[in-house]
Amino acid sequence: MPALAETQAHLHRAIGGGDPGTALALLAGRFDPAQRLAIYRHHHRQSLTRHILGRFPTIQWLLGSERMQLLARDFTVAHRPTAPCIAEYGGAFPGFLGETDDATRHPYLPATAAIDWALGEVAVAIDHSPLAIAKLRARPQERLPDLRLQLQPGMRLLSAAWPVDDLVRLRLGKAPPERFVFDRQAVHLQLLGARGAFTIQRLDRGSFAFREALAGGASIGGAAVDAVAADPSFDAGAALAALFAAGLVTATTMPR
Amino acid sequence: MPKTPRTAIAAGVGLRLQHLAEVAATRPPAAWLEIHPENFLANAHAAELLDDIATHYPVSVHSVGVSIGSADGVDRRHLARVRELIERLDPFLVSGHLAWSTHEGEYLNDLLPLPYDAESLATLARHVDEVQQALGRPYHVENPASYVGFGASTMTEPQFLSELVARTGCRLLCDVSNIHVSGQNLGYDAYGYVDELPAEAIGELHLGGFVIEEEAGEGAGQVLIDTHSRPIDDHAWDLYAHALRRFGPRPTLVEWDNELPALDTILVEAARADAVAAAVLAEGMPNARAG
Repeated sequence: MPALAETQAHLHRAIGGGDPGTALALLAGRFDPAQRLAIYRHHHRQSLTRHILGRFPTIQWLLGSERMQLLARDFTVAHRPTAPCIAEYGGAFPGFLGETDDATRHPYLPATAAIDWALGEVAVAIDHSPLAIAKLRARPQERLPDLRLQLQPGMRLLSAAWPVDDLVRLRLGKAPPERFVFDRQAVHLQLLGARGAFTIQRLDRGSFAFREALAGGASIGGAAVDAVAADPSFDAGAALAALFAAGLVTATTMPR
Repeated sequence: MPKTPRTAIAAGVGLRLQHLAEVAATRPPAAWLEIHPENFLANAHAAELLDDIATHYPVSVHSVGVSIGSADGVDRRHLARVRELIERLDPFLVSGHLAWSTHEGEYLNDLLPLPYDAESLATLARHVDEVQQALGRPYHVENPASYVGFGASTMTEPQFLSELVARTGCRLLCDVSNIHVSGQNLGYDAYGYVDELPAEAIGELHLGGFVIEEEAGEGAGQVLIDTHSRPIDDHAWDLYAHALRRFGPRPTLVEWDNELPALDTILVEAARADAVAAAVLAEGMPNARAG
């Protein structure tokens, strides 16, 4: 009689698509063990695949349901969930997609999948009260470059070598345009969402680098250095004002 | 103090994400609501709506991810997240499944079956103790819908559950539909199963829909799949009445998780559960007995 851990290892292997032989030998009763074990295997596969399909609607729209089903199934085998909140499962799919033949033929697919994933995250965020730029006046002005900013939790920044935001807009649009030109063009995107709604905005290279560095925990001064490196004409004062004006700053911290 | 259903027999409904905004906006006449914490832990917007809803309805928290049956142990990180939600909501009841769903760090997204033997019982008892200690309240363990049995089992499921109650002081969530489904699939008497359960430990009842599938092969029969995608079957309603006679009135949940209909449809099922309970109470519950 196998120990519980051994029993679960055999079932785990069988349900995950491996050889069911040992697991079948553990089952007993007035039923066909293979057919009954297949119920669990089917549910496991279907539920995860369905979840992935739901999280990447633009990829499904681009590739079609049949191909997406196969990709999602392969992904669920290669990348198993590790936690019970299944909504958090699937973040590795854009990278997985990048290793497939589909991405060789359509190199914009991984970035498009990254947008799908990020939109799913930002749409369920809640926004916090924005901070007015006037609050900065209370800070010692000579130390403003050291200040760190907390940004809205529903903000994500993504760069892509293709204008993949156009694909998402196209999918969400009511009617397809007469003509759609899709050429390689680098885009720097800000996705902002809260309570079921979201926006996608293109940023210039300097503003994107500035916001990306701030979101990563850099100080205002450090983020400005990154932004100038990305765009020598970057205006830190204007970028900071724009950040506050857009309601993106929710708190500030000054290191000691 | 948690909000509690206004009467013990009032049936509640499962609150699923698709109905969340409607419930928050219109506050339909549900006696109480059951939530799966896993739907809210990674969804700040849903959690915000739930916080508001919980001020108007009694809430029951039903985890599908704590996995008390895993030989590896309970997922403590997940348990801590569930505890945080429970502390915020203060539900009138917390429950989970007699099942396992994690193995060596992988989450299988299903409620998987256990052999009912001494080792499983010791494992479950240890994990239920841990969960009850972490949550600071009794944990209600639900009987699963089963499609297989194990050669290693030395106890029936109700014997196993009764022992678990005796060892841990946990309570039971009796899923009446699961008893019917498992009874049909594994060939046991559902009414006898209900009669074997310790009545005083039953804190809640569940009712949910299932589908019937034909099995392949010579002499093959049917298998009932617990899908929560359909109205409750008449066999389950009859067994529900029997369970009420045996246990007395208990908060009852109507579960509907897949192919979700309009909320009104589920509320109609809940009203039917109320009517069945009222009819049984009117009989005077002649068979009700403890233990």
